[in-house]
Amino acid sequence: MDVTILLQTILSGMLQGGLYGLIALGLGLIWGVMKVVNIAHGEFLMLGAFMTYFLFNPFGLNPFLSALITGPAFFLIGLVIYKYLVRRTVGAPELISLLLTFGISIFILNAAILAWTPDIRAVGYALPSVSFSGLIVPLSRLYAFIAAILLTISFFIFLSKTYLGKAIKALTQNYDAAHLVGIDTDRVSMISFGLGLAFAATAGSINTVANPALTPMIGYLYILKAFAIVVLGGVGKPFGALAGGFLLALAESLGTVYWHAEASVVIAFLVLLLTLFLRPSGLLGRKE
Amino acid sequence: MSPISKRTLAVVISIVIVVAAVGTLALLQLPPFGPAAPPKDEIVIGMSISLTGKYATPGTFQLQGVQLWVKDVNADGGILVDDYGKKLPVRLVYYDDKSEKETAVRLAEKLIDEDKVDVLFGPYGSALTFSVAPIAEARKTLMISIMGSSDKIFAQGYEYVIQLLTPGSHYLRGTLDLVKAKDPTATRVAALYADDAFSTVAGQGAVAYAEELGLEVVYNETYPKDITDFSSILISLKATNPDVIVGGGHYEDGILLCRQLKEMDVNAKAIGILVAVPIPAFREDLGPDAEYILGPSQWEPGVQYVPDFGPTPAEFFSSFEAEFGVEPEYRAASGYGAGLLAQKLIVEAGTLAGESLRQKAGELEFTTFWGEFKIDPETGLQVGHDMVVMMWIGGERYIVWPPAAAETDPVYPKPPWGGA
Repeated sequence: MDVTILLQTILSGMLQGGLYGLIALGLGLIWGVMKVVNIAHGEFLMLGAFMTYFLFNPFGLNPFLSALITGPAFFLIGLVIYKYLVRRTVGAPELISLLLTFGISIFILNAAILAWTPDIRAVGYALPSVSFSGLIVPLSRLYAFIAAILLTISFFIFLSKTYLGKAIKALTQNYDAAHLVGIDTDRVSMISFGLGLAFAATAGSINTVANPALTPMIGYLYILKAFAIVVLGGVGKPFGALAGGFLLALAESLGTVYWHAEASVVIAFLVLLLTLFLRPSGLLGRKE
Repeated sequence: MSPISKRTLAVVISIVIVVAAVGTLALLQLPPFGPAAPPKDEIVIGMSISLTGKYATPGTFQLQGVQLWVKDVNADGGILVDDYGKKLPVRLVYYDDKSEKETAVRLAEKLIDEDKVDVLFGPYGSALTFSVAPIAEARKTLMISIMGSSDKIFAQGYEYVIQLLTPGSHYLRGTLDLVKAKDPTATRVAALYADDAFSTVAGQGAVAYAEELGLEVVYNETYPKDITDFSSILISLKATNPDVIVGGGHYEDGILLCRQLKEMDVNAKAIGILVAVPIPAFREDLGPDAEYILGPSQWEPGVQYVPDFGPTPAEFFSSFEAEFGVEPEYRAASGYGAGLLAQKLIVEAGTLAGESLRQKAGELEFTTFWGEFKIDPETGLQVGHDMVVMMWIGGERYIVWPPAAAETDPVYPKPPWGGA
């Protein structure tokens, strides 16, 4: 076995894993706090990517910097969507919120096709690669990886150090108990939903660096994977998404190189099934 | 009663003799059995075409191409048909199939059964062509598949369906021919293509052709068409150390593949990618990295074919632009090309009977502005028409292969990616 190939495979898997973690972060947050599986997560990611495209194309704005715009913008949009739509389904059976977010997903997808046509666009932002001792590191993916790690760490610090963050954690652990001890669960949920959408849009922005092509239909490429990553890593754990992302991406890249290019999806979901079997609450989830 | 005068009698007898003679001659002229060819004062061409729905844009181009041909041929007085001993004008009957298979089938039936078309033109795309072909076959009406590239249409044993486009399995042949001609030392071929129907046929066709050319296929894999990361696949591909890389799929994965070939510093003497390369956005989206990548196209305005029938490529280009105010692309050119094919078949066969036209199609070999026409006489599969191979050089798009169409020489070998 060629060691360079093995190392390169692991490196590529790690870089992709960071991106996966970023993509799943917002989905896991909303799911953890209010038990709402946001099926429209992929569509918000798509909207973030489109916003990045429209900031890049006339203005030449760096996609990493445009995340600083798409994130806050979708935080506000998230507050509004929570207030007028999602709030009504919190506490209701999960099927109800599933139906709601599914509806939002279909609405956004078709509105986007109407507005922008199904044409393929691309964010023409490219960075060179660097190589050291035979290993190749594409800088675009390295920076996306670093951004994902930094975002996850800041989110972790926010959760542990601030009152609001602790409140979010409390809701994740037990929504009703949090309510009983006097936490404004409605307000905290609203902010969590906003944060979830902000993470989705940020992921959309940064993902254009790694995968330049976008159409209104790209959301579905990511929602299934994001779902699997959240389950793999453990719902409601800030590092869960990152851990799940690494596991999935490493399984995919090793499967691709040492088995078959088409094997990545099979292996990824085999890993998911195994995890559900051995650790039903995810890698970082509490044992039940 | 006065007796009939000798003079009157002579006139009557003369008339009887003339009538009898003419009648006899006329009888002798009739074929011994079967009806006479019904009088005809026009040639009717029918087409179900997508003017609304998802194929509306390409469908409209195709229709415009056909309409321009009808206009040109009628300005010339029509097409000479020996059976009728004169030129007959062409009338085009078309209906909008809304990009739907069911509608296309119904319209094809209507065109043949009610409008009595002499030749049926195929609809837009392989999917609709596949649905319509059995209708023409059952009625023994010649159908020219204009925009059906799929090989499968011609593997059904149809006798009345003939192909105008280069079939999907031949899409990457030009790239391999180019390498073979330029560089006998380039022997290692890697094929990596998407797992959808079109790309698989093209990729497998390339692999088979590479082996036919005596090249060594060192890598042959498909990838999921919704792929978001090629890194790991390219690690395996790079390890096979290929001279030539061919494959790809559609536009999204095409640009991602090119981007990541650079990121992973995978170099080859020639890289040929399906679909994406001729699209102007390819150069904008990839920037200078788009340069020197090879990509097949059915037809481009700059082709240098010297036709032995119909207008030159330049004449077609300017008359299309004058008529419709837009530059023609290959889907418009194929519409006009189909018209020229029908015209040539009718002139050569001298009849409008489907059977004779089909037989003539199997015998003919000729070149128009669209390129060469030659079909496999058995299946109707196009074997004469070549894909042109495109390359971006210095920000401009050039046809670099085959030599009969090329505007300039390709840059070979492809310079390595910079930056890594």
